[in-house]
Amino acid sequence: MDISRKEFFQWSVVTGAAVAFAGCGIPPHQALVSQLELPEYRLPGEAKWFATTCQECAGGCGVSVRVIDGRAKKLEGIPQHPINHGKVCAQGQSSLQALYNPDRLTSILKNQNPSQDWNEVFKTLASQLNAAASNKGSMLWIADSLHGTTGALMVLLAERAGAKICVLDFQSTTAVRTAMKGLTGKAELPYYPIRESDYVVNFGSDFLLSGDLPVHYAWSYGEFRQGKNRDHRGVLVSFAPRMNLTVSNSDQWIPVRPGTEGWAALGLGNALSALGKKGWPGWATSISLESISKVTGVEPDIFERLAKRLLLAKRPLAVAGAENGSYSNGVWNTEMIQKLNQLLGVPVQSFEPNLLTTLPGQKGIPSVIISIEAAVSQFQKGKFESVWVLETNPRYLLPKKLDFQGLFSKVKNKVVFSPFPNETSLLADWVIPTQTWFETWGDRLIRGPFGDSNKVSTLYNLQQPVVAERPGSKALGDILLMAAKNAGASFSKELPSSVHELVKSHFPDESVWENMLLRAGTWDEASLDWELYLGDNTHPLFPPPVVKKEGKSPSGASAWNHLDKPEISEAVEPKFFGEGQVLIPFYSPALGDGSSANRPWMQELPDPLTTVTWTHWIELPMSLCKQMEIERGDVVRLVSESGALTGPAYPSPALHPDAVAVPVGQGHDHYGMFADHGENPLSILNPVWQEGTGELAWVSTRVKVEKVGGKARMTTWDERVNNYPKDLMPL
Amino acid sequence: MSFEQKLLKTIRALILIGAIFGAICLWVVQWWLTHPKKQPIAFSHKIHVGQRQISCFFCHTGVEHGDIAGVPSVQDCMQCHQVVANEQVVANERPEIQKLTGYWERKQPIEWFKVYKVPKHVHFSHKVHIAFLAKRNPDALKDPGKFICAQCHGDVSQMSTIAAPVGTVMLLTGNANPNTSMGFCVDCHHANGGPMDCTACHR
Repeated sequence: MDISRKEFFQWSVVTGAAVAFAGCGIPPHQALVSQLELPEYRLPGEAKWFATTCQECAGGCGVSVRVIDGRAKKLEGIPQHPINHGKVCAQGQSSLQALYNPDRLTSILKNQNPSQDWNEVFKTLASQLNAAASNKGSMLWIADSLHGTTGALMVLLAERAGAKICVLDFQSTTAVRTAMKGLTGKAELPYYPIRESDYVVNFGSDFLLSGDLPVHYAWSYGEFRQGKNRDHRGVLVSFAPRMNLTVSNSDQWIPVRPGTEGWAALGLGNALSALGKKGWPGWATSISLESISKVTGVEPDIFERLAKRLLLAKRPLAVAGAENGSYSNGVWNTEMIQKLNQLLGVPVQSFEPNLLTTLPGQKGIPSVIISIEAAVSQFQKGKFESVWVLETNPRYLLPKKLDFQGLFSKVKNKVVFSPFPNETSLLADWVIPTQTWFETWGDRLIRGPFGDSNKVSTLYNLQQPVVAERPGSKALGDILLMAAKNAGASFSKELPSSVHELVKSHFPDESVWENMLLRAGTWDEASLDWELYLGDNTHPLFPPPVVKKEGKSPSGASAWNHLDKPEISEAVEPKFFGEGQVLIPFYSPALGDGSSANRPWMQELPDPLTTVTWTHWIELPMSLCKQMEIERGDVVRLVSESGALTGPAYPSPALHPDAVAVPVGQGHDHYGMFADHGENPLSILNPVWQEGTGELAWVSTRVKVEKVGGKARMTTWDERVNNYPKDLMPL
Repeated sequence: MSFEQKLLKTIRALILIGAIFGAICLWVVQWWLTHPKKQPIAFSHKIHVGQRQISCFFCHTGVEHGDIAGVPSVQDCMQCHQVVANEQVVANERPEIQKLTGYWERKQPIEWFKVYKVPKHVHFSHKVHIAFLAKRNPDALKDPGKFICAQCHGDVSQMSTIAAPVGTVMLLTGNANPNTSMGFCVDCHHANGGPMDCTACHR
């Protein structure tokens, strides 16, 4: 086609103009929103930071929340806080997705129908309290935690109602507390000064990730490896049946049979004793290393070599965790590991993250806690007329064979308090929407040797609301106080009408209270770095208050001292029921015990070892995979005496041949749009009660592994190439 | 003229017509979008600023200390209107104030139509400009509406409805308000010794 110059220019202008006009977008409509209420100190579009305490676990990390136009945007750790030193874990960061979760309850559910009548709720709860008080023992509360002022309130009201409280959490710390009671006289949790050690022997604990001080221990571990005042990098050796995050960071992993971590400590203690260390129990030294080797699967010379290295260490340390406490012999495991510390000359230290504050008119902490075993037994006998489930999910956490659904359904009054609908709330007469810690007042009182001087101190961590509360929900503590008020003076005497008033009552001095709001805690440090929190947003009308007066932590007491001291005079082997490999349901790094499964950030967080996201998987030992010709992604079934579970196989070189492992957290069927897939390993566990505690021995089930056939897709980050069809990306 | 030539001529004509038609449509649509719309409540600055002499800073509290001037919260409006003209509202008069109380009772924020828009690729801070104008003329703070805010927003005390002056539609940004155009800003910076480098505003 011949084009003249004139035509060329004409074409260019026309097409250029067409493109230019086509490229002009229609600007979207912009709205300028007048907020309903705006405090004077808040500038539109600019950030304010509020100090508070994260309540995702018992760690009690001090955090500062960035709030813009009334919306919480980001958490940062408070650098001066003696527990977390400015760090926040993934669980803490993801808690914004609990606050703004689209599946949050926005109304009361009465017989599963929406209602906004809070007065009816308070009257109903009050009548149940009064009925329970006149028939002591007919009410049960199932809670996920008892701590601080809200915990103290729960204990006080339960006592007034003659009710018992069962604390249900995975993984339970009762075994560890029981062992510590035997060693120190206090049923607290062991504290490990990892940062001061130069040689740590870890017995399966995942202290970097789970347990009660993950962020603190992660900081401490950093100091252990690269601290400034060290002459050499610390050495970490782990005995464990499975490589968890902490074990994967070790310099050496020594696989042991599940449940025999205490036996490994026994072997090490015997080897040390043979090298001249005094103080090891006589009954222990009578057991030969060969016998111990048969139980643990660890060669005797490993104990001997490790014992020699420990003798050369200046500050050795043995670490146990809730993982050791999950077996039928959990108490014994923990006690042996702590005895090893005593043998090494390491003082057994403890801390308590769940102290209860003292409420007005309260004298002492009543003994209201019962074990899961006792609760189930009374359930089965039909003892309970009213059962309240407070922010936990027993139908998900308990093995199916216990038939929580059947037991709960037979109870006359079933009340669930939760911010989200869950499997347990589906069974309830009343589902009462509660709030997240971003919206409510509360606290956490922790006692332990956290400061630089290792002196035991009590830290009061204040939790203050940083955003307005979600309409249609109320704080758990405030609901209980209103129920108490409606129930009459026998319940409400000397109690105010809000948790805010209760918390404030610990600090009657206004300038001390202002200081508390500023830093959300009582610490040793005398000053606060203002610039960190306010940047250049200092409002001239509201300058930072002068830190006039430090507050002292209120006193607190533990709710766990009722636990019996164990009597240990012989070695105890773990018990497993069923056939096949030992099933280890492990605390998921992303989903925890399943409560974070409704947070997409946590679903997409790759597992640190397998990098799997958005699904469960079944870790199988390499030897078994070779024998059964199982490849990654093959669908397999685990069959226990109590049920079966299917899923994609993940052949793992980091697992003892006697074990299989499945992460806990998936397998919800009523927990929102993000948590509707996978399977729950807790459902197929045998309900075995732990010796000496009455808690569930979570790791006591054997399973047979069967090939189902076919492949299941796992989204992983370690072999992305293989996620594509092979013909698309031929290798 | 061959068939080929006729075809090319026809196609060219169609493209030209289409381009002109498209340009007209976009121009009209953009003008329509940037023309002042009916606000959810017919708030009158003429009454509040002109007659009642309420300072701009009283409602737009963010302007002295922050980047964004902001609009008052519903609670701020109700602080006066729970008393001012309340009897008339109760008597079912003053429909616009009734709308305000309706928002308050329903606990509903008000979505105003935004008149003054700065494109997203521009950083503008009210605080800096207020401080400059106040420093240049300390008496300006006594009547900011006249001496400070009017520099860009015009004499708001005479406006029943806030309307940005509509000029040539800026095709790339959809901005029709010359007072928020780059030329306006640059002219003022140039005249008053303000920063002239690109990163002063584009960051």
